[in-house]
Amino acid sequence: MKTISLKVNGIAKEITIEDNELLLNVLREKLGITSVKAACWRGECGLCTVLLDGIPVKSCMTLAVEADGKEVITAEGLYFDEKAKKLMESFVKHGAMQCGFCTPAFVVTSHYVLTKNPEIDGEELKKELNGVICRCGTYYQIYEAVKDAEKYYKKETKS
Amino acid sequence: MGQGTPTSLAIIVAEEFGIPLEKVKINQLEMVSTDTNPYTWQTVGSRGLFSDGIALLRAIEDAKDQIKDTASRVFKVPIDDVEVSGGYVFSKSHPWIRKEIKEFAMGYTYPDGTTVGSPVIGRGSYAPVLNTFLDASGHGSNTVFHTYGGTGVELEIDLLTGKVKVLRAIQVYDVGKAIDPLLVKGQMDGGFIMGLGSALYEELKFDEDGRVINPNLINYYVPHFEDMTASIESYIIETPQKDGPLGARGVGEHVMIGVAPAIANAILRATGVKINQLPITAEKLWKAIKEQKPELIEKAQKLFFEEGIKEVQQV
Amino acid sequence: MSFTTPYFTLPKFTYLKPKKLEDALSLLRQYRGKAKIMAGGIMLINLMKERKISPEYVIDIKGIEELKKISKTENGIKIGSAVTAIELQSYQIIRDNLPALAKAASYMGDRTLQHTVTIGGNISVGMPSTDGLPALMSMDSLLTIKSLDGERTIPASELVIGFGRTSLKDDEMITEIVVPYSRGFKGTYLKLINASEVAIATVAVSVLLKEKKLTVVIGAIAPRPYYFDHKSLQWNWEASLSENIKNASEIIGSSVKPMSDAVAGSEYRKEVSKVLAARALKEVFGGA
Ligand SMILES: Cc1cc2nc3c(=O)[nH]c(=O)nc-3n(C[C@H](O)[C@H](O)[C@H](O)COP(=O)(O)OP(=O)(O)OC[C@H]3O[C@@H](n4cnc5c(N)ncnc54)[C@H](O)[C@@H]3O)c2cc1C
Ligand code: FES
Ligand code: FES
Repeated sequence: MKTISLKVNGIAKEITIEDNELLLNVLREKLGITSVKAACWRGECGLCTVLLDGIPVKSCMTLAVEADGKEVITAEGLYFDEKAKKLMESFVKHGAMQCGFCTPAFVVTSHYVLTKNPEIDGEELKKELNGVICRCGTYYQIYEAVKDAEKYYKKETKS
Repeated sequence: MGQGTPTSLAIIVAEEFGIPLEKVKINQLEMVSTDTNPYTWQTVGSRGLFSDGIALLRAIEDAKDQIKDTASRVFKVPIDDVEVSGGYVFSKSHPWIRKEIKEFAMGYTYPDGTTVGSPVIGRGSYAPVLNTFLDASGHGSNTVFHTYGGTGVELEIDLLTGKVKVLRAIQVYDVGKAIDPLLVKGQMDGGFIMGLGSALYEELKFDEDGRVINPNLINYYVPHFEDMTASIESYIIETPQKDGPLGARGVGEHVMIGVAPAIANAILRATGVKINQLPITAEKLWKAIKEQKPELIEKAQKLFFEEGIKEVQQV
Repeated sequence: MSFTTPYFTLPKFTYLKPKKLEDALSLLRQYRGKAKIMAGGIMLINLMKERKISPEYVIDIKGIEELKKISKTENGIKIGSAVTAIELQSYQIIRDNLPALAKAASYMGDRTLQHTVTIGGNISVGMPSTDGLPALMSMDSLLTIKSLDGERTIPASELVIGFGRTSLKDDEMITEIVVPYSRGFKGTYLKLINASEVAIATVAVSVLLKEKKLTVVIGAIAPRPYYFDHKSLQWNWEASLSENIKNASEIIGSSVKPMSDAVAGSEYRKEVSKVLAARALKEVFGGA
């Protein structure tokens, strides 16, 4: 038993965990954050992707203790980010979801990608998003949605 | 669930009553719960919207009949003269006699508190008729509708390794009526991606004892983001299905079916090599080329060594 | 299937996160045989989920700053073992000088995993499918291995001794990778995968050309990568390039004995080894 402190979607939390707990379980079961999906548990599908100190990681491949002192952001947290909210609206506009199971992971990953580079080349974008699987095959729509949301992430030109 | 059926159902309700889409609530959890709802069989055969849609239209008819019954008493006109559409209940012969639909939802209440009619609950059901099991020879009628369409692909083959890369796809499907074109397009593009997986990659492999040797998503590979073709064009044709909801028929799985034959035929056209077993992995295609058209491999090798390298040396 | 079955949980262990290399080495000695190093943890966590290993202690080395450095010296380029696959692709020193390694890093799992995967962890996995080792071997890299007793250096080619097995002792750690060239050479890394880049390789080929020195390493087809140089390939610097490549590819084809597994069969892997080697050689000489 160990108490870790971390920030989850902007809120500071102290949680008591075992060393062998996965971040995925802690987020879903102890914190009730269910946008983080659990599917393969082996790092293959990417549906459990969250941002750990701003970097996308697969939470089924991350120990909860590794998040000690760090900040975790999930799709729930991104709702309060102006740009990310526009990104989500773009997903809706382009019909970039069918069953929606992969949507949170794609939102989180593409938010990271656009924050890093809002003028990303198309092929590079596909590589960046290759870590998340959409079994419904919504890739074309997700691609359009992310490309369309680029404009919200570009730095405002100084006037 | 997940194909967008509830969205399309909501659109049907909104259109039939002429009310804004936001006013229509579909309780998705209830919809799939057989504790509280009748069982609607699985969404197989891409028949979700087709069957649920027809049942829904019948329920809407039933609800409208109840409204008309109440309204005919309130308006004091014959029941045949009452119409429900565009958000209103009105008399066809005296259209200025009209009231908003919502005034009839719980039965009609006069200003003094007296009431006519009762709360409106429409019921409808649908079960395919004239369907049969298939007989031993495969004959029979086991579907209620047929969705027609076609898929075309343009691809590149690495003759020396057998690796196929699909560059472009075109699909045309007659969906009867696209109740929500964005959703139909999503089903078509997504169906293509799934079809691509079964055409090129997906295969469960077993050892001698029948154990699966690729029980993970690395060795049982499903299409990833990078597998999307550089371009895809999906066209919708609308020849109404007379007995379908608003003329619609199913789409979804149908799109998947065309992908593998399109790829196999493109390979046949490009190389003359016939492959009739899926998935067409690089290894399988390489073996097939070696058996059926070894001269192609020789030609590619020759090209690689002679012309290819000479060019390089000149640089 | 319940979410408490082994597959979804990890065995019990104590997590340790030393900040200094010496502390990590003493812990490894203190809990010898009972501890496992965790770098990115990508392999370690999966092995623990499957209960293939159940260490009592997990020593996370990500807190040790000196393992995360990359530097360029007269004797070559030094890469800390905890440098991530993303860093290998983004640092200018690697991109400019060791393109084959940067390319190999781009295949280490998908882009999301690459933020976590480390070069030291990747080669210590000892599996044929990992991309780091063939690339490092083709560049005649050396591995610095430390324990409380001191330091030793081995060629990268001596690390893996069998399927998933390495020559590391259980209190030893790879701290640094030294690529002995810093300029004046060309290299490339090619990989054939049935699907897109996150699937497991059928064959991987890494080639290095430095003046009159040539190496070709074939990975992913056997427990250990195959190493060839201009001597074993009977490279004749006077003869024409196409003759040389044809000959080298034949020699490679007749010397490798690829395995058959869920990914591909032996015969196919042999053929693809020849084809990829030829393409890599052409690329390396073509740009010269
Ligand atoms: C879906 C998926 C696909 C993948 N595809 C590929 C691929 O195509 N190509 C590829 O190359 N990789 C691929 N990988 C990654 C690869 O399989 C390994 O998981 C990864 O490289 C391990 O790196 P790590 O830093 O996470 O190591 P860890 O998991 O931390 O460590 C691996 C092993 O090495 C030991 N170790 C770690 N660091 C050291 C050190 N410095 N000294 C001594 N021992 C050490 C550990 O104790 C452990 O036994 C894939 C992974 C996944 C999940
Ligand atoms: S559940 Fe984490 S990658 Fe699949
Ligand atoms: S929308 Fe169903 S998995 Fe992506």
